[in-house]
Amino acid sequence: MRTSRPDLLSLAAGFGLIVFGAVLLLDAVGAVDLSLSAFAPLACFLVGDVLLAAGLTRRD
Amino acid sequence: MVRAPAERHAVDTMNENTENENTSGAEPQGDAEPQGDAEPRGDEDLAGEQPHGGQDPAGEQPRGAEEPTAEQPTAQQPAPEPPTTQATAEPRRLYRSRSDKVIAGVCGGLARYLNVDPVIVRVVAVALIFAGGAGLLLYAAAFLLVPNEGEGGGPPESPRRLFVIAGVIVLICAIGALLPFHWIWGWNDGWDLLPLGFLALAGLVVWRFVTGQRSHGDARSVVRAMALGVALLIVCFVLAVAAAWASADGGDTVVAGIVIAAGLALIAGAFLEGRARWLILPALAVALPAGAVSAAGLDVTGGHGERTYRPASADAVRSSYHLGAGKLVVDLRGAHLTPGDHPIKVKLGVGEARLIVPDDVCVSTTSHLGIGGVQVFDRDNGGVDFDWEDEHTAPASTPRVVVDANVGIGAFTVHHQGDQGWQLEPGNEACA
Repeated sequence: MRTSRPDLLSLAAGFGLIVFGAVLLLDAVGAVDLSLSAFAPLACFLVGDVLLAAGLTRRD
Repeated sequence: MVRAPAERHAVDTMNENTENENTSGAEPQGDAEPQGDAEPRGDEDLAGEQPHGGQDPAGEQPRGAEEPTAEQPTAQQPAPEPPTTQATAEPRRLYRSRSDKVIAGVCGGLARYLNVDPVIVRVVAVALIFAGGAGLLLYAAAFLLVPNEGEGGGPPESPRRLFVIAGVIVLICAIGALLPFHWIWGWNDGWDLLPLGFLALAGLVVWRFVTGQRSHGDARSVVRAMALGVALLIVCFVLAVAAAWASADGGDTVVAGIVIAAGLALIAGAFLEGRARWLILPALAVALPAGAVSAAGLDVTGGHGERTYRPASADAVRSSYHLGAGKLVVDLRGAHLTPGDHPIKVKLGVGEARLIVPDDVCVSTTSHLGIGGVQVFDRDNGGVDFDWEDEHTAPASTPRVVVDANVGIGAFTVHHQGDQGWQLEPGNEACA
C-alpha cells in the first residue's frame, strides 16, 4: 500500500510564495516599505527555497 | 594463479578432450599453461582465465585463439583491451566526465582531454565567470554540445544535484545580503550580477527541460527540448511583464493576492501527489517582477509620455509634479520666483525627470531613486535603492527651490540650461 506523503517541492514553494505575497501585500497597503535592499534577499530566499526543495525531492 | 579444485577439474576435462596431447592430463601450473612452445604473453593470461570455454585456446589454437579470448574476458579478471590500429586512427573526442564531475562533468572531461589537473580547469572556469559571465556561457554551451561519457547507453542524468547546488548558492547569497558587513563583498555594488543570475536561472529551466526530454542526447531531442524550454520562458516572460505592469499601475494588491493564492494552491496540491507543481514557475514569474517593481517604487499611474511644465509665475508653480513613465521637464526659468522657499515634489516611475532653474535660484535637493542616477549641477551619484541629499541654504533675498524627488527607475537632473544632457555644469552659486 502506497503511503501518501505531501510533495516537498510544492510545500516549500507554496510556503515561500505565501510569505513573499504577504510582504507584497503589506507593502501595497503601506504597512511596510519594501526597498530593493530588502527585496533582494527575500527573492533569493524564495528562489533558493524552491531550488533546494527541487533538488531534495525525489522525482517520480 | 591458483585455481579452485572444481575449476582445475574443468580445465583438466577440457584439456583431455583436445587433440593436443601435450596438455592432456597435465596439471596446469597457474597462468603459465603448458603451451610453452611459442605462446605470446597475452595468451598465457587468457588461457588461464578461460575455464568455462568449450576449448582450451592454449592447446588447440596457438595463434588463432588470440582474438576471440581477448574480446571476451571473464568477470573474474577482465583483460585490458589491446590497442588496435583502428582505435589509434580515431581522433580524440571530448566528453563530459561521469566520474570526475562537480556539476555536469564539463571541466573533468576537458581536463582529461587536455591531460591536465581538473582543478586547474575548474579554477579557470570560475575565473571566467567573473569575466563578463563568459565562463557560464562556455559551460552552458559545452553542456549542450559535448556528449556525455559513454553517451547512448545510459539514462539521462538527474538534475537534482544541480538544483541542490544552485539552491544552496542562492540561499547563501540571501543570508550574506542580510549580514551587517555585506558591503565588504560588495552586495550593494553587485547588482550588475543580477542579470547574470537571471540568465543562470533561465539556463536552469531550459536545462531541466533538455535533460528531461532527451533520451540519448541526439541533436533532434536536444532541439525539441530547448524549444519547449524557450516556449516556457516566453510564457513566463509574458506573465512577468504583465505582473510588473499591473503592480506599477496600481494593481499591486491584486498581484500580491494572486501570489498568495498560488502559494495556497501549491500547498493544497502538495497533498495531491504534487499535481500543482506546474504552478511553481508561473507563480515565480509573477511574484518576482511584482516584488521588484514594488521595491523600486515604480508607479506609472501618472500616465506616460513627455511632459513639460513652464509656469509663467511663482503662483503657477505646482507643489507636485508626477509622471508614470517618460520624460518630465519642469522649467522654472520663467516663473520669476520670489525670495523664500518653494517646495516642489517630483515623482517619476520610469524615465527622466529634469528641473531647470534660473541662475539666481538656489536649489536644495533630497532624492530617492530605486535604480538610476541623480545629477544636480556639478554633483552626481547613482546606484540602486539609494537616497541622495544636496541641501543648501540661501540668503534671505534669494529664492530657494526645495526639491523632493522620487524616481523609480531612471534619472533626476537639475540644470540651469534646458538643453543640457548628463553633463556636469557649475551651479547653485546663488546659495549661501
